[in-house]
Amino acid sequence: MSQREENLGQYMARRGISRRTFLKFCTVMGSTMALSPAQAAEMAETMAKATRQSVIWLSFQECTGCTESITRSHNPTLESLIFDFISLDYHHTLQAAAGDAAEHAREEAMKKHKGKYVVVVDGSIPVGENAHYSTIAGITNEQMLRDTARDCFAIVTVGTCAAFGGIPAARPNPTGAVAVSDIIKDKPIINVSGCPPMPQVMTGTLSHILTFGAIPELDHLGRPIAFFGETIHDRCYRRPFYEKGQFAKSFDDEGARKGWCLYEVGCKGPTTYNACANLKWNGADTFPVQSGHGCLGCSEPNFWDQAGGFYAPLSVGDWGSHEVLAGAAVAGAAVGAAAAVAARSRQKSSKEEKTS
Amino acid sequence: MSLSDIPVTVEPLTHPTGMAHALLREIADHLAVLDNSGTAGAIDLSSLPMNSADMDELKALLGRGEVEVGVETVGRSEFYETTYTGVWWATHYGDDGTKLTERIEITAVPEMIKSHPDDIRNAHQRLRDALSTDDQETRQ
Repeated sequence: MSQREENLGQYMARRGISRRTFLKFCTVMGSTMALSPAQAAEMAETMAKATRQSVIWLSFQECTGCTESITRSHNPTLESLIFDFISLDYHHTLQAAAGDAAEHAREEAMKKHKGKYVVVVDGSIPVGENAHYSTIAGITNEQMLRDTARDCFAIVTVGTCAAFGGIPAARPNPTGAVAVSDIIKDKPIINVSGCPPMPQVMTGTLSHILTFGAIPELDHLGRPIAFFGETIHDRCYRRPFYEKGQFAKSFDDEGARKGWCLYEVGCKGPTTYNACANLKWNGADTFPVQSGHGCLGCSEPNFWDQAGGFYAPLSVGDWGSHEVLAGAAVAGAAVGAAAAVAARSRQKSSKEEKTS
Repeated sequence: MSLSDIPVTVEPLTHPTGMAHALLREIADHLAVLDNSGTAGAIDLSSLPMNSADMDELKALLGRGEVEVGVETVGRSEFYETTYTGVWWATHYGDDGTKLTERIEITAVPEMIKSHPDDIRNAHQRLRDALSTDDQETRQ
């Protein structure tokens, strides 16, 4: 039997990965993905019988931070197991091959797994007359994306650049960069945004596809609801200070020292959907707000160009009225309620869009 | 000013919220299913809004039974059966000791403790290979 034909269970046996290790991976991933707790064993059995999922990873205008995030995660032994469970047939940064041999590997994988492979994209794409700004092996990013996406099962964008354009597309967008969804219109696209995305979110999303052979439930921006269903503000441990109207006014005042809400120094938590506040970074130790800095909103579209910049409070653009912001310090409870209503109505509109 | 002078801390609630008692009823329902049909169940404690006092209360209500098992794979996993036979407390850690997830498993034996048939088959083959090598060396 060739290695290409073996299923994941046989592959694990050959590599000396025990079923206990695999079950632990599925248990932790299932918990992260909010799957039914009883599904872990079923998930492990299903995945073990499947052929390893072919993945073609395309890196375009990016900084490699997304790859760094997943390969240098705090639990690398567990989270990087995903690289054993998929067949990573092409990845510029991680593969040993280069030049023609690398491109040949991509074309072979596309031919062999036609209609079944998953394309992972990190980085945004310059298009049209600007397409030549970024090329690989003489092929523009735009052409490579169009060619590779043609026969894929689905596309997973990792990072805000691929999902929404990100920093390369920020004003003045010198390369005319766009998101994957601006180019590919006829394939399912799962946006795993963040700058970088959380490693558990990348791993969890790929595990979902491996296990169920289907796309996870998505929000109105194409992000998996299991990870992007709540705002940072919804799950922030500083929320009680917000409700009481206790705000830091600068990064070195009494409020900041007492750990009060960072809303007035620019925290974008109320309008940012991501899992940082509950999954946390650095081995579940902390996240930006816990370290004393407001959320930048990096998992949202246009986060780099948001009105007022990172240190201005959420204001006109998001709340519709500067008066609401002006009253925040003295009427924190009222604003807290407004934030909750805004968050709920946004989730509601997402559901309505899906059902309409 | 040192880092410890910055009072940014999470202050956990020090009293239980009643969540532990609610969970006991759910555990009882799972145990009835296990008893009647043999179907196992599980509750993911990591996803529930439980504070440390709730966790302590639930541990005290369930108690510790006769069996404790440790599994070393990509970090440690610890299992113990509570005083209610068939109700297991499972805690999974990463290889750096970080707690990854915590579950109640309602089953005769948690799946992760059992030896998987594929692993048994591989072990059998490995042992046969080792014996074959051993026989060859003995003949020489």
